[in-house]
Amino acid sequence: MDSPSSHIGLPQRITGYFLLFGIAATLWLGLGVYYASCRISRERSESACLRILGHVIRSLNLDYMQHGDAHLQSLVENQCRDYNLAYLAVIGLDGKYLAHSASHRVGTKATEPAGATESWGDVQRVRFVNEDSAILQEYRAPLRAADQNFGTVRLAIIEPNSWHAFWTATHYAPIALIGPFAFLMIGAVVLGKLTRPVEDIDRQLRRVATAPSVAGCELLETEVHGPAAIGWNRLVHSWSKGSGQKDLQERLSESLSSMRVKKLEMVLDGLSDGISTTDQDGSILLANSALAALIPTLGQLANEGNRAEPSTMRKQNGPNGSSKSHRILDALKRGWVVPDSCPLVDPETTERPVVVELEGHFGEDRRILRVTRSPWIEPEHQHSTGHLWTFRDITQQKLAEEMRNQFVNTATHELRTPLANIKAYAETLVLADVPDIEQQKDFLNTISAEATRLARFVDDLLSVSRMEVGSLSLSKQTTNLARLLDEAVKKVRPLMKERKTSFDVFIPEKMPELYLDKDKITTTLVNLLGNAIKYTPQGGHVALRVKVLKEQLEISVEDTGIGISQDEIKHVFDKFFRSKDSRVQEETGSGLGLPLAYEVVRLHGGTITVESVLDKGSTFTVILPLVTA
Amino acid sequence: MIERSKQGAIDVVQASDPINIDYAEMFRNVFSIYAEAGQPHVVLDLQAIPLIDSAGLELLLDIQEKYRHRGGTLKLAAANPLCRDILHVTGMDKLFEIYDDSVTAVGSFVR
Repeated sequence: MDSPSSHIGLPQRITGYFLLFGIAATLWLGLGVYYASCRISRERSESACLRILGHVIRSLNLDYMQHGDAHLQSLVENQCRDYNLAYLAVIGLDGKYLAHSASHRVGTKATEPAGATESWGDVQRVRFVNEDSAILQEYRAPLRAADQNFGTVRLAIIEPNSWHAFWTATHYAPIALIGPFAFLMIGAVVLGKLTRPVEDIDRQLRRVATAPSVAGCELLETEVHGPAAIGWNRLVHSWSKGSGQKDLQERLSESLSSMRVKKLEMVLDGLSDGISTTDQDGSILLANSALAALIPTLGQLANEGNRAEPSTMRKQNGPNGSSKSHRILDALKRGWVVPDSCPLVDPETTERPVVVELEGHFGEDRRILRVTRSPWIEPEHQHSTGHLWTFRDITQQKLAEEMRNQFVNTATHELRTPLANIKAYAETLVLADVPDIEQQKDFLNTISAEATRLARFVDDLLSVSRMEVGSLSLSKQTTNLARLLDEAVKKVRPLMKERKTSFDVFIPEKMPELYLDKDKITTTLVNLLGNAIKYTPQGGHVALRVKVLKEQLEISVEDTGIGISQDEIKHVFDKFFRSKDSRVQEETGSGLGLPLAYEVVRLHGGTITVESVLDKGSTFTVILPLVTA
Repeated sequence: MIERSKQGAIDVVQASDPINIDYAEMFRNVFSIYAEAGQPHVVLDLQAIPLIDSAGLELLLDIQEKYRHRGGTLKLAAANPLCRDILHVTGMDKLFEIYDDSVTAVGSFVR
């Protein structure tokens, strides 16, 4: 309910009340001053009268003693005038006026006024009202000369009235009243200034108090005058940001929804697969952070369009809805090979799920990406409104798959060829009539060689299997290096002769004894020398160089063979890798020799490297640390 | 010395220095290379690494978080008994996949 004062602002009311109570206090103070003035004035007139009375008595007594009553009248008149008295009279012992300031009363009988009488020893005071309605105070005292009473003196003054007291008080009013009033006014001005900032806040709060619902009220920031205004502005800011203006249900729902969104974002960003949703045009609506890693060009696109990183790409419609959209296919095409025949670019496939594998080259790396695209059908729509995309880097799986296939091919070839030879020669021996002993021996030698080849392949397979599980172990012993090299050279000499390859061996005269796995290192060297011979055309040249360095042993196998192309050189130590060069394909080989050599050297703490020029030759260099037992 | 190699699509990091406060920055620089392009799938071969201190553990956690953010991962392999104990006592063995050797660790990416 509105009171009349409720229309006046709080600052005005505060100032008004301040002035009201201040003026009341000042007036009360004024009344006190007035009352005190009355009292003081009365007391001062009383004491003044008694003092004047004393002077008058002494003068009259002295005059009477010197001159008798001859000069009394003139003395009385002078005294009355000098002391500004209402009247002054001397009454003789006979009760008649001997002298009177009103000279016509001299000789007349003195009248006795009716009034209150007070006495202080010989002195009497009679307070009465005269015929002019003035209050008179008449002081009486006996007159003596030579210890003889010769009369009574009557001295009268007009008692100061209230008006007189007020008039007297007004002399002091500037000091007593104007000062406080002045301070009150200054106080009112200061108070008004201090409370002015509150006026705006008060007006708004008054509106809130009278409004039917808090939610509908609009609060405005006020001019900054001090901490209160700053505090109010912060409250208004917080209120306008939303939490204050919404009811509980709305705020709860908003809070829960933002929590859900955050959780979903966390889940999406925690996935190792790239996830994205696009609209019908292929513009990205949402993407997780893994997608940015899988499609680096997506980040570039985002930067070009002044957009956020894909990790924060949520509902990318742009701040003003006009900026260009990120088409996922454009991003894909910038790094990955998307052929024209790819179902992703075929408009006929937009309504059905599509799975494709794309290949991309990033620097030296070849990567394979599996992309699945499914139509995105929202419950309220019957047809798809966009697409859900998932991306997975399947390079390693693909490589493993390729390696498996290569292994099966190699194993099939490496097992079947010797088996077929063994079977053919054995059948010939059994069924055909081969009377020539030499020929029989040749057949048996071939069977034996093929069986050895089979056994070696199975051994390699076992070694690779052990290598795969990390259980390829070394059996180290102190080894005479010269003997080891000699053994390796002996093993390849027959092949060398068969191929008519020239072979040079450069071994220092003095060789140290090393602590290593003799069999595995020998196998490694035989493998390297065997490869050099196998892939060097007839009449070529193979060299084995051994150098003993300060802390290392360097063994190089050089050839003038077919060489290895730069594309393939980085794969020569991969398991089951065989060059696509037809000259290599002509030779038998499992693709296991070099990976095993690599692993054996690595387990010894050494390294194996290759340098090669196609059609010129290759050099494999093994470096082993000089370790003694 | 840090040696980087590739087994298929998996990057293998081998080193002979301790992963401690003195070498942490060097390791960080190497690991950061893999986070620059594509999804990082990295195996850290601890075979020749003698020691991991608190700075090293912090580095490994940082790198793991960085890789996960890109959908990749860092796996550890062939830790010596001391490193294995350090990883166990600090609870890091619960945060990392640790394999007996780098070949198995690389193979695990195919699964």
